[in-house]
Amino acid sequence: MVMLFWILLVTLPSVANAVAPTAKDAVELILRSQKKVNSAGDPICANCVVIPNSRDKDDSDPVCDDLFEAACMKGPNEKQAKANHFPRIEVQSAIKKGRELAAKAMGYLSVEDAVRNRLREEGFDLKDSLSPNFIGLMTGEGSLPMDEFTSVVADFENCQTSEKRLENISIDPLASPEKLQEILDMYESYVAARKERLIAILAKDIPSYFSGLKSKCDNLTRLQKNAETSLDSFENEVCSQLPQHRRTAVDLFRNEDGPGKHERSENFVRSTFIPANVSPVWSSKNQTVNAIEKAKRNLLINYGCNAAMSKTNGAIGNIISNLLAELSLAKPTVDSVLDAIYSENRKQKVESIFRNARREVTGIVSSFIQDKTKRDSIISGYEKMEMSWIEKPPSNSYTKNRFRTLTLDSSKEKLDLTYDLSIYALFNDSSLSYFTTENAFYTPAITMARSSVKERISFFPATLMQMDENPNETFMIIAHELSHKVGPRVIALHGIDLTAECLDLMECFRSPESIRMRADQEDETIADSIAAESLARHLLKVPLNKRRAQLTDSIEFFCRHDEKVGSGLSFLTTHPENSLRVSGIFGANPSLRSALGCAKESLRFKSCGISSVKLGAGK
Amino acid sequence: MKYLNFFTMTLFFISTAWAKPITILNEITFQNGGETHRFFIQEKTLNHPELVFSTGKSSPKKRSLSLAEARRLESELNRIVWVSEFRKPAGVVSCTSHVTVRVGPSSSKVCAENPQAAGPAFGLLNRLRASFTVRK
Repeated sequence: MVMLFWILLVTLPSVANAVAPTAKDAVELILRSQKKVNSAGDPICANCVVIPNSRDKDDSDPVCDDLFEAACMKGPNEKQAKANHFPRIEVQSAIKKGRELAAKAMGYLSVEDAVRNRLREEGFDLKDSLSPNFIGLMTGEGSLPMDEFTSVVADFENCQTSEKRLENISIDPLASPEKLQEILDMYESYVAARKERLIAILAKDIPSYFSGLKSKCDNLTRLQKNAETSLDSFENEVCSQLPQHRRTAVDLFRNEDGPGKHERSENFVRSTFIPANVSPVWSSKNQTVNAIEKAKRNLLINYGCNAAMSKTNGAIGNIISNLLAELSLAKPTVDSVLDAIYSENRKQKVESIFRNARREVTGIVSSFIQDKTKRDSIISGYEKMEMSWIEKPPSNSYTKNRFRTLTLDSSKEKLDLTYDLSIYALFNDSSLSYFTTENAFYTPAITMARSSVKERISFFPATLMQMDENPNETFMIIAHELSHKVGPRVIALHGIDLTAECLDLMECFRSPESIRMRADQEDETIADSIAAESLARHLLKVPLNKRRAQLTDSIEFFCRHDEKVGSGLSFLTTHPENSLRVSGIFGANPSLRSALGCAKESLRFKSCGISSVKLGAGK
Repeated sequence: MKYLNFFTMTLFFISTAWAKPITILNEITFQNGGETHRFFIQEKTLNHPELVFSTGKSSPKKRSLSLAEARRLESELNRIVWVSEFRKPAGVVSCTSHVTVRVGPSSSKVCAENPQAAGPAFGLLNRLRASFTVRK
């Protein structure tokens, strides 16, 4: 037994390095380990190294021991469901409602009716039944399985039926010349029809067509240089005049909506289309049989259903995307979406949270930065800082489109970089992703060319709407974004150097006992650390028995967007992993632990916080 | 020794397979927090495209694409380049770089001041980002 104690004592320093327990914790671990070995009662295991479980359920405190585990791993399915549904559903129904109204204002029965009509105008007929997610899938929100695609687009069903019929014709070299000629004619006329169809499809997307033509010419020229092939006269003519063809393509693109667009684009494609080379076939002594075989190959390589299918998929996707962007820019959609998100009630609520968070962050920064000049400059910046808020565009931002429906007009809008993009750009997106994606960011004051940007915090609408359900999370996000102002890299943009002030804190987070912060994660770590201190101050104002629940609510954002929980955005490199952020920065923050009544030191991570580290120079 | 040679040869073949050049077809890049974030489509073997996200020094994230998805993305990127280059509104005098898009040999810096190109580019970026992170 004494031997076992010594083994454990020798083993413990390495464990200690990993978890940095206090002396009291170390004694507890030894006792727990001894207890485990004793209870195992296995003499063979007398020399085993027992790795102590620091979170024995009998005496552990989940929130204090491992905040991420306690907050995020309980009911991950529920959190995943939340991440996938709220508040996207609310925004998506506002988008749907607005687009339906816009489609009606443009004279269609519904959005689906508009899609069918627009595709019909472009030469694609859809069958009666569409899967509910057809429109979404065709505009890039995933991929529509090919069998579903072919069954929906009438053209492909006909194409496949005809191709199968041709394949089933048996070619008997001993058949009469008339019979063989009849088969050859059938093939050639079918190939000619498919070629025309392909030309019509390619003409719908001139940028992609020209890009493909250029690649083809570049490839042919390279092969010719290496003497691997020689260009025939048509290929030579098309490729040698590529600059002229580019001018024609650009002209067609600029007048895409002009009269006779289809005919002009198709003529251009017809005059420049270079099919893949199909070598002659010498499999039979009968020339007609060889000609049929060659036509077969030509069909397969250049004009078959499969060859045209992906191009059609792209063309249909573009047509639907353009239509959806057109519907999104219409006033009914703009009004519906902005009304659903930017209500007066929500504005007052978020501004109140913003003011509270700013007060806490300013208080922490004031105590953290001792140099008066730096401190005054930063505090005055905080006082002027705003939250971006989208107001409805004034009526003179709209113009009537060809359906006599009011639609946003980019030429009437002055760019306001408050939202990084203009309102027109946010709505000129078939997926309206700005309104359905969760994100928030801090933007420093920047002057770029003739534009200047005010320092601000921006919330994507989905993040803003999350506030209805969980205002504590909104507080944490705002505190985090506000704290970015004093991140070492960001503050340098304002001409202030806080390297010395942040030195000790950075060292602490870099250490292996903490989160092993990398150099590119400094700004995010500082922002989290100050947000944790702000949260601690905030929690001190609520009764002790409510603080833990409020803390787990505050950090729910990390749970929703963590891969371990099974959902959401991962922030990739500049942010430390979510479990480290939650347990290593928030969970080990001394002020937060004190507010919760946890033991001073976290079991898993070294305590790093503004109040726990020795402040660096510059005091 | 025979086994050692076999082992060495196997390693050699594996390493040459890895060394095979990968064709990068199209890409969209943007600056975020001083770092370049890059989404691109590459073709490791013929007709097997994959979408790659890379940033800073971290290892790139990859997701395989169907040919139809790759064509669709290519078509969207192409359109953004052409709108940005050939449909620039006359009023746009300054350019705040929003993203840079490259399709084959053509590339374009999409200006935030050009909403006709910046809107779709922004939407595409959000979708590409979500395609790596949202599990349904």
